[in-house]
Amino acid sequence: LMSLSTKRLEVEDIDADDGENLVLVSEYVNDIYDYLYELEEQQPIYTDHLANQLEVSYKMRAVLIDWINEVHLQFHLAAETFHLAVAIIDRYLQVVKDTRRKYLQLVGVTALFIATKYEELFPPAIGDFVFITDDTYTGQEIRQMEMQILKAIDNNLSRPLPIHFLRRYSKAASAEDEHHAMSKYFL
Amino acid sequence: MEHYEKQEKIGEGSYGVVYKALNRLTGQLVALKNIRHNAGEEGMPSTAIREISLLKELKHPNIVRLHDVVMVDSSIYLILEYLSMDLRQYINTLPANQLMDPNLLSSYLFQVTSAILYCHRRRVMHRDLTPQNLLIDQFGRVKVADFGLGCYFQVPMRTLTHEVVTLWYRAPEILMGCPRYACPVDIWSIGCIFFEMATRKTLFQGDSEIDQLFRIFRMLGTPNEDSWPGVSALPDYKSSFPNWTNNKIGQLRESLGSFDSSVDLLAKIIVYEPARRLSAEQILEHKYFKENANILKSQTVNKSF
Repeated sequence: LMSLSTKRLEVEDIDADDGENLVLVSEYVNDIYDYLYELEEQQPIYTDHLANQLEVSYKMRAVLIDWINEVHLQFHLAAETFHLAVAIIDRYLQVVKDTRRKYLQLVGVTALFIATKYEELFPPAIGDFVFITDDTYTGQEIRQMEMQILKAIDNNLSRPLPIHFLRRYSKAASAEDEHHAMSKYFL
Repeated sequence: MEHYEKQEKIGEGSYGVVYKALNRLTGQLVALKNIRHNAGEEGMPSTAIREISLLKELKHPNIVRLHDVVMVDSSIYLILEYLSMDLRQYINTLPANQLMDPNLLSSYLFQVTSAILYCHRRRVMHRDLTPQNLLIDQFGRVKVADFGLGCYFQVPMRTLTHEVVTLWYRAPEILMGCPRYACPVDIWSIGCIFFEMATRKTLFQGDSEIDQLFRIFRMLGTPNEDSWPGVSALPDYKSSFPNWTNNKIGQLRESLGSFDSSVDLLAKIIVYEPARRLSAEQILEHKYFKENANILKSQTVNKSF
């Protein structure tokens, strides 16, 4: 098996030795990354994505993301789940401009709820999500918000995540585990 | 939703019921998949979330098209392309001693493999390819349906679930508990379906996971480090497996009939070591299709005389 990248690039073929290693899917790897860039463009998050929000500020978003990060660690969820939840929150907020401050945490916890269903082998039950908000919201409210979010982001959860690219870059740079872990922290 | 006229129930997917329906505005027949969102405590089923998101990405002539997603109150409807029959039904409706037309067979195999190549290039695995999930129409087209168990994969792969793929079409690496399987699991299923189209017989018709494995062992020989490097490290490998020693896949020649190249193709798909299995791309380049194309051509010539 020869990697496609040798045909296309004049640079070092970083997949040359992976033909036998199925887990790395080297045969299609360039197709896949081209496709991920395409997908990213189709589902953009704009630089000023919170402009014109009536009540929600960048600071509040930052606090929310910190909290989501804590919850994701507490539940032992995958890094992908956290990144997907953040992307869902951002894509929702850039569309729904009149998000009320008191429902921002509901948006966050529901985004994480959706992300676990997409990413995790064993997603936590809805009761766990109610519990971590200290019963601020009910299961019914989370289910309703789930519908609203899915509608706002057009049921599209395929936006590639920062971590998908990092793995590739780390490989291209022959990064050591420690550097990869540190980069993960910065994302 | 009011302009869809529900007709009969046509099936039950991994979640929700599927109806045949008429779009009164366009006169077009569609398949309506109804997900009752609030029926369960847990909101949208994760299989539905994945299937919708995946189908939105996949636009290929041999993949069932998702026309629309309609969300009303607490119900969600997937409006899908309608096809009248699945491959299992088609094979069953053939007269008892009649096999599928070899040209149709190779055309179906080509179409399904093209669809799966398209998926794999977009980091999507189907994971549940069966004759029931391949839908056909009267124009000779076949389309891959039911991505309820589909998932996207990453490079490198992460650990994946084992509760995938209907037993008979399940690849040996999944049966052996390999935590990181990849695209070749779909290829194995394609191989099993290929055999079934050609012979009307299920290649490995197990009634439990272990029976499924042993049926494969009887055909290919019990795997060892020579036939499948790394097999003894897989979670469900047992050194106490009965030792079948013959690889009998070449003996399928008789049942496959028509072309030698079909045996060759099958023998390169039904291979233990996932990395040695043909890829979707390699299947499409196999001489089986070239031979068939020639025969197709000669038949058209004959007809015109």
